[in-house]
Amino acid sequence: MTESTWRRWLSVPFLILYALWVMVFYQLVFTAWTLQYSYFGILLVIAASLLFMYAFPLRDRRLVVRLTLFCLMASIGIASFAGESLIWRIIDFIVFVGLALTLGRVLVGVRTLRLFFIIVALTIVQIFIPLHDLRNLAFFNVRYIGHLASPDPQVPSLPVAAVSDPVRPGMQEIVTLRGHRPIKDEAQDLVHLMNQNPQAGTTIESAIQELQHSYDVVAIRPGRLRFITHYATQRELSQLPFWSLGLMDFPFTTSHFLNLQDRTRMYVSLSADPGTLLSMLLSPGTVAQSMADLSLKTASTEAQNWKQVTGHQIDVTDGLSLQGGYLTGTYQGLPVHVRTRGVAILGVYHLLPQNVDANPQVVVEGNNVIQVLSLPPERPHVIATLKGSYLHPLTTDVVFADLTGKHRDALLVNTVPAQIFQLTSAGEWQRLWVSGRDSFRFETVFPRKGGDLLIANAPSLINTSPTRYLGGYIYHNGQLQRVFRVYYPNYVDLQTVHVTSATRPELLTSVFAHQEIVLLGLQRVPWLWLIEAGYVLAIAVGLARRLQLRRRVLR
Amino acid sequence: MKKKRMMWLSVLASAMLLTGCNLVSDPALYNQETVQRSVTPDGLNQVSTALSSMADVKSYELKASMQAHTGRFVQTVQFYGSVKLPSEVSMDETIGGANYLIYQDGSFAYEKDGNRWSPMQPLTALTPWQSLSSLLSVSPPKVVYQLPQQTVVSWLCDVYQFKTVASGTLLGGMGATSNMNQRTVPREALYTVWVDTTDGKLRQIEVQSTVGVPGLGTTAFDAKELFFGFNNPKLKFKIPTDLLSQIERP
Repeated sequence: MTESTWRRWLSVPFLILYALWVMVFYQLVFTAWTLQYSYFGILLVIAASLLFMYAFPLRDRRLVVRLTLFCLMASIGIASFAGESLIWRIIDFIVFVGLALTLGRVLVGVRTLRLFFIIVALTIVQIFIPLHDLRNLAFFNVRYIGHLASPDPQVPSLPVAAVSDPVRPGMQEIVTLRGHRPIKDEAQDLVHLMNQNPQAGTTIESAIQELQHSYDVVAIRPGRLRFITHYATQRELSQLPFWSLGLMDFPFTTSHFLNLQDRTRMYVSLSADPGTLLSMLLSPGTVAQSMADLSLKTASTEAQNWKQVTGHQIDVTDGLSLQGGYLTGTYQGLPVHVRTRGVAILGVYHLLPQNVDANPQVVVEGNNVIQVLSLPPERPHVIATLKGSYLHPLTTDVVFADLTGKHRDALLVNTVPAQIFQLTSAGEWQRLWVSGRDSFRFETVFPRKGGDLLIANAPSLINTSPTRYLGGYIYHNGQLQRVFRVYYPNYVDLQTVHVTSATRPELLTSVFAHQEIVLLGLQRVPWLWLIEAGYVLAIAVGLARRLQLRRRVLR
Repeated sequence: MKKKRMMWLSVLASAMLLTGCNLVSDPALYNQETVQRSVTPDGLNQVSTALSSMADVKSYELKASMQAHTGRFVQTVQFYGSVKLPSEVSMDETIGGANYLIYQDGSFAYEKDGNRWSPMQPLTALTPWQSLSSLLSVSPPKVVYQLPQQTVVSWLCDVYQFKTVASGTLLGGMGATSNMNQRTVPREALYTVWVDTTDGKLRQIEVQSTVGVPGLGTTAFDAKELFFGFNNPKLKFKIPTDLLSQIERP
C-alpha cells in the first residue's frame, strides 16, 4: 500500500466511521471495564490502549493516537452541553467547534474540513442518542427517550406503566406523567374544582402552590415517524390500579386526580404536615402505629381519588379480588371464597410442578407475608406461607420467573439482600439463591425458552460502591450466569412491555433523578460484538501495516 | 431460524466473555444480623438505665429519617435540627426532595413550606426517650438481644434489640397535631437501641415495622433517630428572619 493510497483511506466516510467507533467503543468497552472491575479495569484499559498503540508502526502511530484522542474528546465535549438551555447549547457549540478545529488542525494533522465532518457526525448521533445512553447498545437498541421534565423536586423519578393500546390491538402504550404546562385560567378552575371535591383535602390558599406540583397524565404510542404523546383517556387509565401512578412519596404525600376538559390532572399534597411527621418521629413508642395509620389513610384516599377519575377501585385479577379477609370471585367458572391474610393479589402463577397441580396457583400478600392458594373446585385452600421479618420485610417487590423453562415459576424476592424461592411439591419453600450484595435487586424477566432471562440492577463485581447497573442473568446450578451488563446506573421501575412489537419483549424504564423515561428493545444487530470486532480489526490493520513497512525496508 | 439462533448465541457468548463472572449464592449477608445477636437477660435493665440517664438532658441535636418501603418504591423523610426542652424546636425536614422548616418557641409554632411560613399546632412530646420508657413499662419485651458493639459516628455503643407491641394506653399519646385517634390495631415493632459505652446515654433508636395496606401489600417502615450535642451551652435558638418579617408585615 503506497503512501498516497493510505492517505486516500483517510477519506471522510472512513474518518466518520472511525470517530463513531471510537465514541461507542469507549462507552461500551472501556467504561464497562472500569465500572465493573475497578482498578483492575483501569489496568485492562491501559493494556488494551498500549496494544492498540503498539500495533501501528511508529510513523502511523502519532496520527492514529492523536486522531483517536481527538474523536474521544470531541464526543465527550459535545455531550457536556446536553444539560444547558438551547441558546447556551448553540453558543457553546459554536465556540467548541472553533476551538476543536483550531487545536485539531495543529495537533492531529488532519484537514480542518474533515475534522469538521467528524464533529458534525458525532453531534448528529448524540442528538438521537445522548452519549450516556449509548451504553445501552451493549445489549439493547434505544427505541424511545422521553424527556418529560418538570422542576418539581417531589418526583425523583417519573412513574411509568403500560396499558393495552386501544388503536393497536395486541400492543401496548406507555402511560406516565408530564410536568404540567400552565394554561390560561387554570388556577381559578382548579380552585373551583377543589372546592367541589371534599376528598381533595386542600384549601384555596394551597391550590396555587399545588399547581406547581401538578402533572398531566399522558399516554405515548409509536407513530409513523416518531412517538406521539397524547392525554391519557379514562378508558386507558381504568386499566391501571390506583397505585400505578400515585405512589410518589407514599405515604408521605397523597396523589389526587382531577378530570379536566380534555385531560386528567394529577397533583400531590402532603399526607401529614411537617409538624405531625416530626411529632410521630419524636414518639418512638408509638411511631409504628402512626406510620401504619398514615399509610392506611393515604392509600384509602388515593384509591378513592382514583375511583372518582376512572370508576375503578377494587383490583380484580383473573376474576378474583380480596375483600374483608377473603379471596373471592369466580375462577375458571367456579365460585371462590377462601379466607386469607392477603391484602393484595400478586398474580396467578404455576408455582407447583405440573405433575403435582396442573392448575396455576394464586399468590397474595398480607402484612409481611406471602400466601399461595390452590383453587381446586372441591376445596380451595392456602398451600404455602412465606413470612418476612422486620429485618428483611416482604413487600410486593416480587418478580416471578420460570427459571428452567419447565413452566414452573419461582419467586424473585427483593428483600435486602434479594433472594430466590421455589415452592417444593410438599408445599415448602426452598431458597435457591441469595445475593451477597445488599444493593442487588431483581427488576423483571424476559421470557425465554430454557429459562427466563432475569433482568436485574446489580452492583459492580469488585467495586464496593452500592451503585447498580442493569444486567441480565440466567439461573443455572445455583448461580446467576451473566448474559449482559449495561453500565447505566439510574434505571428504576423496569417493566417488560410490548410497545413497538407484539412478539419481542421491550424494557420500559424510568431514569432516576432525570425525569426521563426510556424504552429499550432487543437488538437485531449485535453492536457490542461489532465494536469489539472493530478493535481486533484495528489491531490487525496496524500489524499488517507494520509487516508491509518492514518488507519495504528489507527490499 | 438457525442464523438467528447463531446470532443470539454469539451475542451471548461475546457478552459473557467480556462481562465475566457468575453470581453465586451467598447467605452470609442475610444471616449476619441474626447470627451475631445473643439473648441478654439484663438487656431490659440496661436499656431502661440508658433511658433514665437522659433525664438531665436539657437540649439535644437530632439527625433522623423515616423510611417507607412500598412495592418498588422507598420513600424517605429526613430531619436535622435541634431541640431545647421544654418547648423550643428548630428543624429542617426533607419530604421527597422538598424542604420544609419548623420553628417553635413555646406556643409560637410555625412551619415553612416553599417560601411561606404557616402556623402549626405546637409540638408537646419532645423527649423520645420518655416515649420509649412508657412503652417499656406498659409492654416490656419478652426477650432482649444484644448485638456486637458498634461505633455510631465516633461513639462506641452497646446495641440492644427487642420486639414489643404498643398497647392501647399509649395510642392516644401521639403528637398533638395528629388527629388520627382511631387506631385500632396495635402494631408490633422491632426496636434497636444504641447506648453510648462512655456515658451510658441513649445515642440512637431504630424502629422497624410493617403494615398490610389493601391493594398495595406490605409497607415496611424504618424510623431511625440519632441524638447528639447534649446540653450544648452554645446552642442558640433564633427566630428566622423571613418568619419575623412575614409576621410583622401588615
